[in-house]
Amino acid sequence: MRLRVCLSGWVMAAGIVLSSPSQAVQCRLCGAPSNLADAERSGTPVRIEVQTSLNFDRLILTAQGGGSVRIAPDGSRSAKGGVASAGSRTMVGSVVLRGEPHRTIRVDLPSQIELWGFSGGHIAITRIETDLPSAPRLDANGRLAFRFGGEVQVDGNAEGDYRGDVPITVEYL
Amino acid sequence: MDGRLGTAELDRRRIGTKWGYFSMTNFLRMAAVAATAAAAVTAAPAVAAPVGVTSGPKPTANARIIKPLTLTRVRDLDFGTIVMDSVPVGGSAVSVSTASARSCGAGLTCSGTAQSAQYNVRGTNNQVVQVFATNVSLTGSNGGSLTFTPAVPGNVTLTSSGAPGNNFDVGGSITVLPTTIDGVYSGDMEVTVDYL
Repeated sequence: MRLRVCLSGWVMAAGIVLSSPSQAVQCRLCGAPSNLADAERSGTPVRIEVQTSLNFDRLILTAQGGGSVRIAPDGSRSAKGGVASAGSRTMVGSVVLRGEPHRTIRVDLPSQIELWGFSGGHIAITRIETDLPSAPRLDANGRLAFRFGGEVQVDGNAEGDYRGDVPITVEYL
Repeated sequence: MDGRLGTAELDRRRIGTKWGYFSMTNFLRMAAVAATAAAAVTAAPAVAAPVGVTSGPKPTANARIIKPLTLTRVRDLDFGTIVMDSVPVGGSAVSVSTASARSCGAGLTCSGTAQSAQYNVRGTNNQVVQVFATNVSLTGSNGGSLTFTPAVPGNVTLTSSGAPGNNFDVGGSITVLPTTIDGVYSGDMEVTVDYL
């Protein structure tokens, strides 16, 4: 009988721990540090708001060999090889993250993406750069803004308009 | 005891039996609750799992790759022959439209074939090109000068990549004064093109 009561109590405690959204309640019951992720304690999911997309604008092929153009997160531009950046509407990508104040988060961006031509073909952004700190954290208002740039490789035969998605994912740590 | 159970004792055994059965049921129920709670935690990706853009525009990257423009002269602009009869004090204008139509001002007689200048521009198909031109000075063969004011077309939409490109015309005007020295006036037009 004593064993039976003990088992019932354990099951009940486990049930409360797993179903509780509150860390405080959880720790009163278990008396041990939480192993649950912060996200499981939070009721506010993190959201991503895209302010502007990355736009290389016009890239002029000046030689058959092609080349590359880089836009840094601060907006500065540089070009290598037979391609020049000539547009006045060049823009870095800018994103605002919103969620639980003071929460540390992880932001994942791809290291490479493909841009597909409206008339066929593709080119590649071989490097994505951001101005995120090494340990991104939402501020007191639950907000974090960052910008991203990249380096696009253009071969000598590319021509026309190209576009690609930049998948960004965010999670609480 | 004679092996017969009194009423009170019988009741205890029944209760005991019921309690044992009830406890096991509770255990199963609790286990089910625990499993449900665990499943609920696992099935909450909106909070726990990495999230992407769920509303609004998705982040994209865009680039427009174009060939450099090349601009080539096809023909020169020509006002034809202008005879100064009785030019007003304020001057009289002669103009040639982009369609090579000439307009001759008061006090002047125009003859000969007039034509606009024509250029060929090549670049990237479907791109829009802007044409720019600035005033230039034409120098007379016997001295003197005339100011040439160009008239450029609107934007040009390229219909090919590279050859054959698109031709466009440039007209313009000059103002002849009573004091203008006769002679042949000529000069270089300053025309540039750029992608819009």
